[in-house]
Amino acid sequence: MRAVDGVSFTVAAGEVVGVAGPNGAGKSTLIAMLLGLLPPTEGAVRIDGLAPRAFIEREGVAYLPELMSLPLQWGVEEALDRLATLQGVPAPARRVARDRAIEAVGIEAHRGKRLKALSKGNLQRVGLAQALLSERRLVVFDEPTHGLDPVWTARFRDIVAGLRAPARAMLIASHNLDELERLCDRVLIVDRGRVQRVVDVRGSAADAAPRRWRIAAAAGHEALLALLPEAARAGDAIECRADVAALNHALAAAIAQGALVTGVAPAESSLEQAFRAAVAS
Amino acid sequence: MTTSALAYARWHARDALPRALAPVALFAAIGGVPLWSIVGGNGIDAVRTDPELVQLTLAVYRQAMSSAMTLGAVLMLSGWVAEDRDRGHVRFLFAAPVVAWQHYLVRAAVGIALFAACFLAIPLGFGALLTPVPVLPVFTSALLYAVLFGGLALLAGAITRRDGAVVIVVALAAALLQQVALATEAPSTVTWLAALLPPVVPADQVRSAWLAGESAATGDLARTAGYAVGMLVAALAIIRRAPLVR
Repeated sequence: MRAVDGVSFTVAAGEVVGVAGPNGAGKSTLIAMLLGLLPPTEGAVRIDGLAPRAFIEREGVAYLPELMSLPLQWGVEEALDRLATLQGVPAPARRVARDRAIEAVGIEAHRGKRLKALSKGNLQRVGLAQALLSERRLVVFDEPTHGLDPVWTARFRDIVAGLRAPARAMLIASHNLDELERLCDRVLIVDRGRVQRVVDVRGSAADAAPRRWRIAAAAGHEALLALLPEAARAGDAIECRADVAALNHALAAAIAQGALVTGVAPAESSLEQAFRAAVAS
Repeated sequence: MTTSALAYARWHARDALPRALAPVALFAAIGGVPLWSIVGGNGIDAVRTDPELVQLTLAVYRQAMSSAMTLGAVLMLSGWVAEDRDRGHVRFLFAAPVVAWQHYLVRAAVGIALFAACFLAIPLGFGALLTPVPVLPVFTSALLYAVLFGGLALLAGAITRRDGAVVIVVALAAALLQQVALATEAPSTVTWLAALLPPVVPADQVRSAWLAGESAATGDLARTAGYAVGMLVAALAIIRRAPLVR
């Protein structure tokens, strides 16, 4: 049985690429191969022209696994000190790197605790902190917001945005399509061990395609239903399917006829549509 | 050798330290009661000066020390690779620019060094409290045992998930078959298996000779040391080549 089969993709420097897929799609296997933890039975994985282990042994990778699998008897500071040592952070700079990472993920109050005393979300933040200890050209996050509360999920997005750099390639695997759409340039949709689709989620490309929209209005529902393409009621709101230009044209016409529009938002992201289509096909 | 693999040695030492106390605890558990009763019954001065009591305490010392060395090597020198794999630590450890086989070589070296250091402490402590005993033969015997059982544990950890259990089973099987092969006209299968398994009995014979102040048989020493180093090298080669996760 093959966990992944015939997968081929490239992540360029400066790019943030997402990997989405249902459970058992092959995302974790893909990442294990990317990190050189598992060899492919056929084909090759190359990072900057090198086999994964050769690349990582040369310069390391900022990696946050899905599960925080550090020994739980370690203390927070101890864990970061140990991993900074392994990451080759020179002894005089270790304390600074550790303190900066602790501050970046907001776990100052827990720095004296053992890992076993931390909540799932705080453990995940320690995992994120260790990935921030060193500047790396390759960043791999596997379900990075797993266990994080909404505040820290949003903060994580800021951290990832801050990690974007022309020389850095980032790969983020997640179930959270909204998160991938916000963070990534492209998203690979993986299912049954194959890349089923590659979705460009950068704004301009997404706006050009027709998509479903949800419109809230205080008045003029009939005008909106008549003018918006493929419009239908969805509870108190109206849903339609249109590209951005057609949507604006229809909204302008409806407003001219007295509609009071209070909100317009995508009913389903282009990534969600692509995901649904790819997984169903 | 990467600098980060070497720099991490102090953390290996910290991890190994609780287990490193195992041989001392075993020595105390095995020899403590008889030595305590000899000292309690005769007084410490008599135990230090009376030739019969000196011989008696030395006999207890040798028995307790040999048992602590064998049991300690089997119990202490394991969990180096299998644990990291089983619990997923490898995902964190080897995202760093560190070479896996070098990481485990340093880990094994630290474990072996701590184990041998225990067997500096035991004769020195015994000598300070009761009767001076030779230190070097005990230390070199411990080093030989540590490399033999450490090599076996590293190899078992590189191949299986249960290195501790494998070490115990293989060590017991080797000891049994090699004793049978030595003592009787054993069937060729037994002799062949005894020769194939790690040289537990030859290691014991080397130790016995050294502790008695004699030279060990060159063949036994060469076989034990060669087999031990061979297992270490094979383990590191497997760690280098085999997938780090299963």
